Amino acid sequence: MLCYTYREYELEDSTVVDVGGYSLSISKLSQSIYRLSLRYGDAEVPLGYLGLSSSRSVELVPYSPVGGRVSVRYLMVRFRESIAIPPGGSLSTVVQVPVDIGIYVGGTLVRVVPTRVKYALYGPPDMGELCRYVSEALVNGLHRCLRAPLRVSLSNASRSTVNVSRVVVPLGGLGLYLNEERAPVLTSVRVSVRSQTYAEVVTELTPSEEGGGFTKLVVPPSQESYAMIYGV
Amino acid sequence: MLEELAEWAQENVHVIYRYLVAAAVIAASYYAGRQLSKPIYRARAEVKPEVLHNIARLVRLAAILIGIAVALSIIGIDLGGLLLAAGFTGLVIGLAAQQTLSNLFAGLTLIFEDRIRVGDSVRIGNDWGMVESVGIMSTKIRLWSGEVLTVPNSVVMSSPLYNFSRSVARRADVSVGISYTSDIGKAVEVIRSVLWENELVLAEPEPTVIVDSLGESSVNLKVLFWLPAQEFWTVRREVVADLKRALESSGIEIPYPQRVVWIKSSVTSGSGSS
Repeated sequence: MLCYTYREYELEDSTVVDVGGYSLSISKLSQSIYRLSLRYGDAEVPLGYLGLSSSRSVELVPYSPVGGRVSVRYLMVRFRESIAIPPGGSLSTVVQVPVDIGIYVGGTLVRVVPTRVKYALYGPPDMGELCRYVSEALVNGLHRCLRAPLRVSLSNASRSTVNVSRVVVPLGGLGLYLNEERAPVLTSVRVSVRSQTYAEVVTELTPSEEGGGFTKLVVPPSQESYAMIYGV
Repeated sequence: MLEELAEWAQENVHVIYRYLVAAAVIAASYYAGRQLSKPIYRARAEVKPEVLHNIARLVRLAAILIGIAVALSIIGIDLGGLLLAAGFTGLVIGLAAQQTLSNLFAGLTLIFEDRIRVGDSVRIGNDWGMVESVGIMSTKIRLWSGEVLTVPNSVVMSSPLYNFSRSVARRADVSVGISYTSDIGKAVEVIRSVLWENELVLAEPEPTVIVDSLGESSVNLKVLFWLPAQEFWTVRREVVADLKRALESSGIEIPYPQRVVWIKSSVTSGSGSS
């Protein structure tokens, strides 16, 4: 099993879990207070404290990307090269998206730990949206357990060829499954491009990977949409 | 004495009655004004609290003015003549209170144009702070040094106003001087790497590093990068410190100001030496 670290852990005085090169440390401070920190490379990021009144175990599972230090509602996916789509044409591509680590206690999500985070601005600074950012450079070298495929289906509903270099996805609509290897798989996204400056993005309920064998639905998907009015 | 008073009261019973009714009307209008403004104060509309507050005050004032007008007509004062007189009086007052009216209209414009809101981080002229209240006549700014600055609304309207809370992202400009012997390409690479490593430096708009000028003692690079507005100062500070550390550890010198001095040693030597 590829992502065997996504499971339940009995907490000791110091519990260290290695998830794809990221070490999540949970240290006991008192009877019910634990300190969380994330280490990768030379850097150690304190993540605050966890109060556990009765339970002495936590479950780690991948979680679809969230805001992190900045509250954001969208994910900007930047393609390596812009994709030219002729009028009436459609295609689909799969991009890799970093996933976060969800900490559950007694089946309840208590903390989401972001792993590889970067932000971008979509639109003008006063009216645009801050987004969580994904590009190939960001995902390079990331362990499979810390990234999930996201299928983006693009269709061109305009009368001219459009070049799509980025897609903005509502984070609230992205669901997350675990496959047979317990590796995360995001739900897919449909993009209908109306012009070079306007596109509609809708999150779908279907997983981004073909076939069955999904063992768990970690984050339930929902259909949410976003109008990209500042160009694709 | 009492008999005279009773006689006077009997003769003027209608007048007394009218005055009592007029007083009751004013009291009722005051009460109605309060009752009408209460739900506005408590309303949960998608407008700023100061707009609701000022609308509520205007509603209460209008109700009281209507009450006074009705009361005056009840006691027999001709409203037409009064309005004519009020027109003249208004003209005189308008000329005399030009500044006050200017503040009032500026305040209404500020409120309804939504230029600033309570809690916004602003700079008006040379004063920086957070908006504490936007009134009809003046705006209160809590300066970063703690004092409360009351600015007449006409001044707010006529001064350059920077509202830092309206943008979700802001651009930081940092100047870095490197020595003439340092490799510019390597310095740019190190700077780009520092910006990429900091998660809060926005990937888009992409950071820019330009060779800005050739200074007296350094090659000056300008580093332009975007940050989330809410984290601007914290992250800018982090980035500047990280840039210094990274450049130094890469062997790129950030020089002190230097000046080359040539001293002419003697006339016979024929040439200067440094």
